[in-house]
Order: sequence, then structure tokens, then C-alpha cells
Amino acid sequence: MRSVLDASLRQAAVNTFEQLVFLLPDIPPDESQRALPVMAVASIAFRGPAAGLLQVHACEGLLSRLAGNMLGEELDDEALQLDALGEIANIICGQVFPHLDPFRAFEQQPPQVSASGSTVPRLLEPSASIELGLECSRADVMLWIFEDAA
Amino acid sequence: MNVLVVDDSAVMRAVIARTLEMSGLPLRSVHQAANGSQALELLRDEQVDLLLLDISMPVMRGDELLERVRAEARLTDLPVIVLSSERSGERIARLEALGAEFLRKPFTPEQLRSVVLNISRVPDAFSA
Repeated sequence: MRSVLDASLRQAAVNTFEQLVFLLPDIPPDESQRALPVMAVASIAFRGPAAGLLQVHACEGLLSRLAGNMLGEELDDEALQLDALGEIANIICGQVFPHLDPFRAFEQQPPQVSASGSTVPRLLEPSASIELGLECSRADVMLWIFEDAA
Repeated sequence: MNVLVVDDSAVMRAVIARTLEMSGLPLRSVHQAANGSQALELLRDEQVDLLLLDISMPVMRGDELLERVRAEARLTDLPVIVLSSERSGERIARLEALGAEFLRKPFTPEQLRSVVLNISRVPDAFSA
């Protein structure tokens, strides 16, 4: 099950970063990308056929690229940078749902975005995860399934 | 054509507005709203020819907005495109029953242009 979820998460994350942000992910990231600290986290809680949480961790150097690439211009506004990270998490999450249950609807909460790595529930091993090297930075995408209603 | 873009992400609204402006479509204006409640006010105050909306939003969700829109006589036939990463489920079926077209996020500028052309029945001269 873990490998199926990992593949689904990988496909959704790669597709989103390529099409929305125009960044081609390197998987796995190289050593310099792996060494970068997490600077912001977007979290999306969901419930329905399964309940869980999806997080996208943006490492140093990535936030400024996200909104900038999406809009095609330099953006120093931190609120817009965090908004872009939340939307990326939102879109990845929506693409994962059909892999969890192709027929029933999920309730997806609006993204909660924090400019720190403090909201990471590291005590729990994620149900699926993928690390993406993105030019000079890195994004980690993690999925926790807390409860399967099926 | 007057378009209203409804999405809780300011960046996504800007991306959609910019994509529309660069599409070559005959746009007169692109209004923006961050949720369904703001959108409903704009729809009552402005002439809108096309509604582009997200589903997951605070205050009033996209599916709730569309139900309210369809209940207003003036807006019963308003063309609506739902932009969402959701791909299946009861909510999508309900939106389809309310006459919405769908475009999955993430989308390319060509995909957005194509679905707008299709639903808004813009003359062929603009589709070249």
C-alpha cells in the first residue's frame, strides 16, 4: 500500500510543480538540496472516505520562486509567497484523492500555512512521502492517513 | 466579455486573470472575489458574462455559491467553469447537474482558453 501511495503522491507533486510553477523536480534531491532547512509548511486536513493530512515543506530558497514563477515576475511579498505554497498543497491534495477513493467525495480544509517548520507532526511516520529537488532548493511532500472510513 | 474569478488564493486569482488577459479573448473586465459571499455581491452589482470558480473556499464554498447563483432568475443561464483539483465525487456530480463545466488544476493557458471559448460561445474569429 505504501508504494502505491508514494507513487500517487509523487505523480501529483511532480505534475503540480511542473505545470503550475514551471520547476522540473529532481528525484531524489542531491546532497546540497538535502542539507537545506525547512522555511515554511502548508498543511491541508481532509476527511471523507479517509481522514488525514497533507503537508508541503518548502526549504530555503524555494518560497520566493513559487509565486514568482506562477506569475512570471519577482515577488517579495511574503503573504503572496505563502499563499502560493498553500495553493500548491491544495492542488497536490486534490490530485491524491482519486487514488484514495475514486468515487466518494472528500472534504478538504483550506490550507494552513506557517512560515516555520514547527507544525510538523514528526512523531508519526507519514503514510507516503516524496522529496523533490527543485533547482537550488527542495520541497518535501508528506501524506498522513489517520483514519480509513472504508 | 466580463469575467468574475472566484478563488481564495490571491496568487491563483492573479494567475487566472493574467492567463485570461494574455489569451487573446475579447475581455472587457476581469473581476476577482476571494469567496462565494464576495462573489454573490459582485454578481448582483456588476454585469458578469462568465464565472470561474474554485470549490474549496472559506465563508462560502464554490458549490454553495453555484446553488445560490442558479436560484437567481437573472443568473440561471450564466456560464460557469469550475477550476478545481478535485476529480470525482458527489460534489462534482452536483456541480455538473447545475450546469458547470470543469477544468482541473493545474491547467495550461491553452486548456483555460479552450474551455472558455467552448462555454462562452465567443465568435470563431477569436479562436484562431
